[in-house]
Amino acid sequence: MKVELRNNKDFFTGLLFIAVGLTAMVISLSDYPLGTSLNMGPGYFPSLMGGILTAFGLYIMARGLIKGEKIAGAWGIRPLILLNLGVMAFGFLIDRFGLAPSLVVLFFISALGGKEFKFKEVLILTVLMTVASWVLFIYGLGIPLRLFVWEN
Amino acid sequence: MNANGKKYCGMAKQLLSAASAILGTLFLIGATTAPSYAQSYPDKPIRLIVIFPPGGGIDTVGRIIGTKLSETLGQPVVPENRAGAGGNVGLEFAAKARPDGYTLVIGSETLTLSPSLYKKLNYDAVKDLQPVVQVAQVPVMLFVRPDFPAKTLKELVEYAKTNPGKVTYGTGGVGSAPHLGGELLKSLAKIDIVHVPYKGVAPALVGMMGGEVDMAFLSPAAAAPQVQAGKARALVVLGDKRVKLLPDVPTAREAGIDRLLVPIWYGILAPAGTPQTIVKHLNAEINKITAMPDIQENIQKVGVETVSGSTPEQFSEFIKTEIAHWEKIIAGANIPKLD
Amino acid sequence: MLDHLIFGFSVALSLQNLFYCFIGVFVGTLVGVLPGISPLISISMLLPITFTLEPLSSLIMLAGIYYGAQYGGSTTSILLNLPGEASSVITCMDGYQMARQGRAGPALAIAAISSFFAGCVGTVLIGMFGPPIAELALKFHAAEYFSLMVLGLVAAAVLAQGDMVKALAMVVFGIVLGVVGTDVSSGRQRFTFGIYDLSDGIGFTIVAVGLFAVAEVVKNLENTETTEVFTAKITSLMPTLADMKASVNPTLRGTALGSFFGMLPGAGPAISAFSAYMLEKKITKDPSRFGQGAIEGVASPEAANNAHVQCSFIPTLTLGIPGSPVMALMLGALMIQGIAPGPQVMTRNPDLFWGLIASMWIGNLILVVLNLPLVGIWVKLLKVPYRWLFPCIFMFICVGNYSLNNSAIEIYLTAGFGVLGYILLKLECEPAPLILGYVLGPLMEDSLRRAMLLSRGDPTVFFTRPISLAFILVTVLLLITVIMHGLRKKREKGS
Repeated sequence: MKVELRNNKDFFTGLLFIAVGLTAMVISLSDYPLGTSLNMGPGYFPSLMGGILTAFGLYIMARGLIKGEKIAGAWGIRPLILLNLGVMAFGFLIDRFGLAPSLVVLFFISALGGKEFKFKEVLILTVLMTVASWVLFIYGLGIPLRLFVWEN
Repeated sequence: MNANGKKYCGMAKQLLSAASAILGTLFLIGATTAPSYAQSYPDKPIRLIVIFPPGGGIDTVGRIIGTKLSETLGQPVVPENRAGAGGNVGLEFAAKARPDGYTLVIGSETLTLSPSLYKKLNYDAVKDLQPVVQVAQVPVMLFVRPDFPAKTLKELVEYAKTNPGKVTYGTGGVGSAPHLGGELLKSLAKIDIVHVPYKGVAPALVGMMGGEVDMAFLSPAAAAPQVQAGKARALVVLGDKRVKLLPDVPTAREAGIDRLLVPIWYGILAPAGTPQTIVKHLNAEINKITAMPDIQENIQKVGVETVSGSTPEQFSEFIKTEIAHWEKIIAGANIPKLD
Repeated sequence: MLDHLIFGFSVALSLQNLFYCFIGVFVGTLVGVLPGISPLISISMLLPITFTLEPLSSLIMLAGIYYGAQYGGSTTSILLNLPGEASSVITCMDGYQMARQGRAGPALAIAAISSFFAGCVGTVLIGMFGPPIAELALKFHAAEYFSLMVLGLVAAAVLAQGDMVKALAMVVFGIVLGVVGTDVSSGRQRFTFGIYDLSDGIGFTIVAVGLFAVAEVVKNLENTETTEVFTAKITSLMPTLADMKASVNPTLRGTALGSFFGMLPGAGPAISAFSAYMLEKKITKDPSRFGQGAIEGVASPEAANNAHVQCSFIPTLTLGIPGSPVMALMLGALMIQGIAPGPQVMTRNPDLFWGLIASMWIGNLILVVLNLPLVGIWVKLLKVPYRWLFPCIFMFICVGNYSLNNSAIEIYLTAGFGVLGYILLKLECEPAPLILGYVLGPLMEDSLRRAMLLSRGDPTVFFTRPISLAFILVTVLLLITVIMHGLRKKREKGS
């Protein structure tokens, strides 16, 4: 029986755990002192946990090769990229330009990730929510955010 | 008629002031780079970077001073927490901010300990920051669990000498001022005691009260209520003056170890290159605030004692000598550098 | 005891104190509803204002913010799968499913009612047993905490939905993530890759919001055909009699668990909510309903979380030991008022102690009164077209996570965890065990290392201390029953 790797659920789950576990183990073994069990160093616990995670990963991966269950449904690549791109853009702009410009960019990019995009609707939503967030966050709760940053 | 006249007069005044405000703002926007702006300082909100998360002494002191400073300067002073890396995130942020007087930072002994504790810092504690004014200071204290055999510092040293490697002390973290207090005691008294770091002051206090560790180095305010209730004992003040919270506890000199001095302090700094006129102005204003009785009282309740009348020069000198002092001690105590 | 409480009510029921209590719970609810905006920030901002107030009034207001926030936090968890606090992660699991089935109203109402009940019980417990129980908390040393963490994590994995191996792996994944940051024992930076913003670890809301909320929105948008996320049909606003009946026992059990954990300084409300949920799942007849909108899965963790919050005032007030940063702030507020919290607070400031306790009860009542009518409004929120709703969810995520530390890096991290969350969702890996591992992992490492250091490397310390031994035995018992159960199932299948 030939096992298909494409969209093999457990195979990729195992792969993810192995990748994380191995990374943790390799970094802690090479960079952080292990210490002794009396006085454990900073590398002791993470290398142990990394090892356990890798072992789990191998088991799950092997199980995936035997069972070959598929990932259900399609991948939502478009919303995944656009929504997180919007978040990143917000982070990039907030220190440089302030809250209002960052929100405009966030709303437009993330709305593009939705099922339908109506420019007018998004525009109204953006204006409304920017005003609301000014009232709520800056004026109401006194959070140190600035609506616009002119310099810096 | 008369009333109407007054009304018009009032309206005209309002219009005039509104117009001048608008003109003033326009002028200021155009003139942000002009050197004359120091005269009108401050004309917009000032942010005060707090180098630790909300809660805790430095945050509260920063907010007490910030609130009062907003009143005296006529512009809001907004505390902004930028915590991380033992306070160095906030200090680096301030060191790299625009030196225009609109970014200030409330710093602590982190500034003077970090240069010798860390392998590398992304800012220079002396060159990148302009000291403005020191606001508060308090010494570290040594506390022990109630059933610990030693009653004085002398007895503790004797006890530790007969039981080498058995006495443990807790602190709120590696590289904190209290941790250095423990290391300093170790090297000055030539005793072998074991450091047990906790994640924060509160767990260290629980550890000491519950008998998990024998002693704890903490700020006076952290354990004063427990001492008063007999759930802990204070052995010594790591400073040259007794503290107001626990006046019966002897100083290091009185207890027999002269140089066992570890201060915790808070002070306001600005990015290097901030105009001297602004630095002087802020120094004068903040010194006025720390001299107010109600402010002094509030700050003392947080557990630190206000320092008033410090000039930028004195504060800068204090920072430099502290850095040199700790460099020697940390090198001597064989504490590995942090990264 | 009773006259103490009556005295407390007589102090707390002044018009002024009622006013501040209302302000407190109102601001708290607001802050709790907004994810990322933590009660910590709002309490510290209000701190200077309290200088001018009377000690009791200011404490009542600050306490109101604190438990109000716990209340509000469950609202967004149920409506939008958006947990604001560690404790409301669990509420997402069944609460959000209920909302999708058009039962947001009953979910919100049960959350409010069970929280109210737990709050009342917690209040009475503080009054009756506060000081002696607080002394007991001091008996918890590193060894006890370690064994407790092991029990919590094993229970979480063993009783999680579906695949036990995957759940265990997710717990370990969470523990590995929890390692990021400064090592408590050596001061070394681990897995921070030179990024200063990671030196205190990855913020909790970043992980939780990324894994739950971001992943959920992406999943809802993955199909191109337009299906609404929430069923348009809303059965009823208020819980039915059957709902109420089903919630009674879970609420009681949750309250008991939450009260116990709340008294231990250092065990956050997450462990209460998690263990309460797991317990319900263990004893129910049909565990498969959990995660599909079981009302017990809302009632029990909500009760546990609120009881925990109330009872965490015990160590703070009677020992002067703050169990969390928020409690540290409350201590600061007390000290500024010239009151030293600690063993003597009950005798020295009886009006303050009993007044605060009475005010908690009043505050919880105000919360119910405030929240039950709001249920209708919240439920209407779900009728807003999803294409308008999801950008707003993202606005709250961004602003909230940014305002924690004013750090852009943390926003990038949120996006990163959003991607990870979606991948895990597609791989059918439940995120809740990961979150628990992430929250408890650092505590576990810290207590393991300290226990070994203090016992001079002798691992028997975990078995020679009675409380620790008890936790270990329960863990072993749990593992045995689950394995036996599994074997029996296999045998039945085989025959």
